[in-house]
Amino acid sequence: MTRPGAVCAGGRDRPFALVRETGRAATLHAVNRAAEAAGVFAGLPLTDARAVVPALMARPAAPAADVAALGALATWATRHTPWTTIEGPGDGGAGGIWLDITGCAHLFGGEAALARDLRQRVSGFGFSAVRLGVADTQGAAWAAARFLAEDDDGEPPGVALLPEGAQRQLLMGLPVEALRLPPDVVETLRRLGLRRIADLAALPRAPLTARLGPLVAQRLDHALGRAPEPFTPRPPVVPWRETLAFPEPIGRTEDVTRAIATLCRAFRPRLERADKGARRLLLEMARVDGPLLHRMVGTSRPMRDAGALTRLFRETLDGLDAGFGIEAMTLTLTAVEPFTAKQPAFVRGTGAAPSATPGATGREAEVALLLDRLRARLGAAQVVRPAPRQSHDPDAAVTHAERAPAGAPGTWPATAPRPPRLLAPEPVEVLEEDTPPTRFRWRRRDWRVARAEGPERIAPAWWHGAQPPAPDQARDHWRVEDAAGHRLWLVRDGAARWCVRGVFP
Amino acid sequence: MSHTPSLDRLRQRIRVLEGSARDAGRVLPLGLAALDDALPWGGLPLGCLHQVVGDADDPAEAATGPVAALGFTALLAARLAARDGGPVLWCVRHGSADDTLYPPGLAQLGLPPRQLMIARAGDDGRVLWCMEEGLRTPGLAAVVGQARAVDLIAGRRLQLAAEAGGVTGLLLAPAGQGRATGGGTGSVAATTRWRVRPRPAAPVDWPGLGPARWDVTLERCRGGRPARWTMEWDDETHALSVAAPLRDGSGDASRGRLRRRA
Repeated sequence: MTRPGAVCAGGRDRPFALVRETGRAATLHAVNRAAEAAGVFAGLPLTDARAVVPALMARPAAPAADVAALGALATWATRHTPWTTIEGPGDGGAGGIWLDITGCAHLFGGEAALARDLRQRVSGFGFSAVRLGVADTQGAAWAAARFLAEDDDGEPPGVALLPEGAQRQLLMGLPVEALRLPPDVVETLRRLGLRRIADLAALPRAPLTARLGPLVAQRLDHALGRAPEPFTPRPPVVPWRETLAFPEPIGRTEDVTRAIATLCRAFRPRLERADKGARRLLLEMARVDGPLLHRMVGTSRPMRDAGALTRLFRETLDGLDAGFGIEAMTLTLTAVEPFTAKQPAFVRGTGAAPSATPGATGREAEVALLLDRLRARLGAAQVVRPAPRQSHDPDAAVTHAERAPAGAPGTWPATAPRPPRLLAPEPVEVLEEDTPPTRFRWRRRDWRVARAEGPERIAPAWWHGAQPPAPDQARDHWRVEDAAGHRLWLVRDGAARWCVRGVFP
Repeated sequence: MSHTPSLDRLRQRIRVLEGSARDAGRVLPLGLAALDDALPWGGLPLGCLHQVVGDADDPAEAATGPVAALGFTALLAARLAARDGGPVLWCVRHGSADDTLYPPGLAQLGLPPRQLMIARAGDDGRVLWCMEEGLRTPGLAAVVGQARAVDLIAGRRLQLAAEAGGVTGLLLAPAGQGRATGGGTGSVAATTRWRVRPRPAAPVDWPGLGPARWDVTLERCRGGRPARWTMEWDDETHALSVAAPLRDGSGDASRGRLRRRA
């Protein structure tokens, strides 16, 4: 498999390149298809490339992120075979992943079916040009993926499947680059007139090794299967999952709670070793008669205390229908985070500076636990922390955050009075016209305006949307008070209708 | 202050036995001499339940909800939050008329968004459950809750939770309650009960509204006497002040205090 073309930020059809600093000049590290079609290629200095394609968009390459992404892909590929790894720096530079599918292909219906499935899934992740090679040896598969797999034709497309025992003939016709050799070695071979692997294989070994070092002969042997090449798979990823099977089905809530506590405790040593805590947990309970019951809880900070996690689940067990009993339970930590990461303080710089007092973090932890319990019982969306947003539109001035966002403004900018209750605009029936009306009917009651304050004109956000809003879309807000002292927030909308928008104390 | 120390100790013991104001030091002075004098603790006692209701007889309040009571509650919660530094948990019934809280308006009453958490529960039972959970969490500054049908047992539970957790609870009457259902004013074992009704604001020289006026009645107060004031809330200076005491006999707080001590 080769690494796909760089995915471009501003659309796939515009020339885009990743740039790496080499020596003093910036050179292209990878280009997309549009750039390739325009005539630039990896290895070209950026200034030259800009001369060819002035519109070339360039971004710095991030090799570490590439390796991390490949690692994630290799980990994901363990769904096809337990033995996967990524290409190291000695493998010719281009990033790819290896899969040792020995003994696994039949599970997917053969090598061709496995390759097709793998390619389809990886393409589904957004990698545009995925090429696969399947062969008897690592070296042959590497060469097949790069030099034999065709993007558009072939059956299946993008996959080169070398038949068993046929590597030799196919490899002989390939250029010497197909041997995973460093660029300088390839350059020397070309200067010597050795262009194809067949040319190389025909040469006597001793002078070849004396001239170019042991690597060339070694790679040749690896590719042809004459010498074994060690395969070092990535360490397996153990899922955060614990299962408990009961000798007798259980049904009482107390028993279920106790089982959950056992499961939570089972994670503790591993979480402590990794210095991590659970953020999201999924509990699956297998009922004797078939259905699988799910319960999911989240925590607002990484947590590994079995008692607290059990309490979270207990809030969700109210409507549990155990039927004839539960025979097995599986607890999966679907999100795990480093334990040391602390949530930002609830309150910064107000009043008595509680963060400076001892025990403040303990209080915050208590509040976080409370939030988790409330969210487990009411649903995550029902427990909100309001956060200010810069907007004059009363409806858009509040956003709800599950966690206090860092760097949000502390409060709203001073405006004209705002009601503590904001209602959806409710039209009133005007009985005595004026601005604002002196008598109107709202919620089955006559209101007589004794005093009024306004208008506060709030224009819609004209910078949103393609067309400027009509001037009559501006809304005039009035504060009115009736003879008894009740205060309402009246608004006249674009259609000159009067509505109640809120109530003031 | 002419009484003997033994009398003081005795009084303290009675308070401990009553269960309220277990530690007399935890009091929030409201900063208004008239109010603080009317309260036997010299301020609002912390770690217990207070009830704030509107006027269920007022037909206007059927439309607006007890909004003056809401304003007064928010002011109390803001003071508690400023003193404590922790957040305030506000529990409402999801989709009810109470579930229209507008945080910028609450911020103008002194409750900053950073210290506000809103829990929207599906029914009254869950509102009470949220309140109880909150009251048992010492990290909170206050818990505000709006639920219908708070009976004696539920109120007692909240009171006990507040005493156990040391968090102050404010039970605010919910909106949309007629006289028939009690208007959330059911007899609850709260330490104090306040009734807040709107009053016409004093006329001002400029074209506009002056500071909002409320008629605040301290209807019940464990170990104290009822009292009544007209208060003014200035939304520009964020100042709460006593406009004029009402001379209806029961409202003379200082006299009541002297009589009680005598």
